[in-house]
Amino acid sequence: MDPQRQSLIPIFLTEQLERAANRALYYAPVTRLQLTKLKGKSLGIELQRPDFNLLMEVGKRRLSFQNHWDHEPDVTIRGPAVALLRQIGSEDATPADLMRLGIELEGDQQLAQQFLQVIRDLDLDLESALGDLIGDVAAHQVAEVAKVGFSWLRGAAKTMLQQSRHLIAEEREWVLTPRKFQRFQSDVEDLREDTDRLQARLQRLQRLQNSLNPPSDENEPTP
Amino acid sequence: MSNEKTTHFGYKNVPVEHKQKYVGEVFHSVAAKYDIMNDLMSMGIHRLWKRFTIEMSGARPGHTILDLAGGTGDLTMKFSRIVGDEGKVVLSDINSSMLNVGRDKLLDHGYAGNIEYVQANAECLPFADNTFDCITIAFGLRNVTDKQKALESMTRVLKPGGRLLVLEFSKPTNPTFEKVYDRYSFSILPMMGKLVANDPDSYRYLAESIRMHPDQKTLKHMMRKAGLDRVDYHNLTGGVVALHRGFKY
Repeated sequence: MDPQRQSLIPIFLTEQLERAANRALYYAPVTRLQLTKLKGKSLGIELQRPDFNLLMEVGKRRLSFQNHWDHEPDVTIRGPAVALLRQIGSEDATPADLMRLGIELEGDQQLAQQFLQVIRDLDLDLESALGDLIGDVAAHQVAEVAKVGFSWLRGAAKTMLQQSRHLIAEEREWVLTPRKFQRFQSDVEDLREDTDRLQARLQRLQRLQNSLNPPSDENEPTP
Repeated sequence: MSNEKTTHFGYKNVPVEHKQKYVGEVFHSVAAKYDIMNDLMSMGIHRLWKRFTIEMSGARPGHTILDLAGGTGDLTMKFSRIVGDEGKVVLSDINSSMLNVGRDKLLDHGYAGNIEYVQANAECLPFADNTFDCITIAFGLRNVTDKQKALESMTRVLKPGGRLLVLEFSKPTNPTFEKVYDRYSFSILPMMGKLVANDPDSYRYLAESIRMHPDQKTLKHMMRKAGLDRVDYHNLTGGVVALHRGFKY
């Protein structure tokens, strides 16, 4: 194996990522505006499983990505790829979640939160993107249809979710939880033991009574 | 027997003073189709080699960078973006046709303000000592007549702490792959040159000049000899291309 060998795959992936990110940014004016506040700042991302290093720098009008760098980024995020993606996708993630998921931060932590927030807030103007491909008029019509479709889907999903929640809440009353079942089982056991004890006690009393008043023929009722 | 000093021009030996003229003719001839031929010949991979060079350059906003033998300005374009308004990129080439194509391309893409164009010979750079934070020479060194002299000239104009990056065709590390590469270079490249640029001789020269260029270890030694420290290299695409890096202290 050649020790000086340098794979071009990460460089290719980084180039594609840079291209996609800047393309997305072109259709996300709000995000672009948010990023101007972070101009000149850099975010180092050190992914584990798979291992992949990335430096993102905010330039004048675009983002640039690198695989190799020899200066200190303003902030570095380090951790398992899956955990980092989950963290980015989660709206209500707290700083405590970072620790729990094995994500480390080094450098300006507030900046890291700002970067994550910008990524989470990414709002693409898909109609404009589509317009560049098929023309504004057609894109508007497609977008309108899509909007109605999405609205219906969203409504249907919401209704279904509500009904499901209602059904589950009702059904839940009829369904035993493991804890309830264990408690019931324990109660039955207790009752069985109590009954056994009572039965034993009654039998003992019966025997005692029999020994004190032995049954005689005289006392037998005459037919 | 002649006492005339000679050097190689591809596989031919030519008088030293003629090589520059011959190389000049090759590049005047290919300048117009240079970018498209690069894409065709390397199947677009030259963009990744150049991207890696940029990443290894350590270029930062405010830096002064010399893109030597910069041709059609691929590296200059990216450096111009990185160094910003407070930095400067000098695009330099010995060949006026290449420089003109590069300047037109950069201006057409809206790159101006922090770029200067200088027609210069790498062997005697017209810049003061300790001027540049970084110098790159991509696919240019093998065309220089006196490579050692050029490396020394580049070292002179580098700032202390600055770095020189030499991106150049080199020697494949795998013998089987080398055979395939040879076949490609001497059969397919001239054919492409004929079909696209109608200039098979220039592309035959390209293949020959690559074989005559020093291999990875020799170039590393030459860079050390020129006064550079911490010289290392990275083999790209199985050693078809190598990026050498050295620092001036």
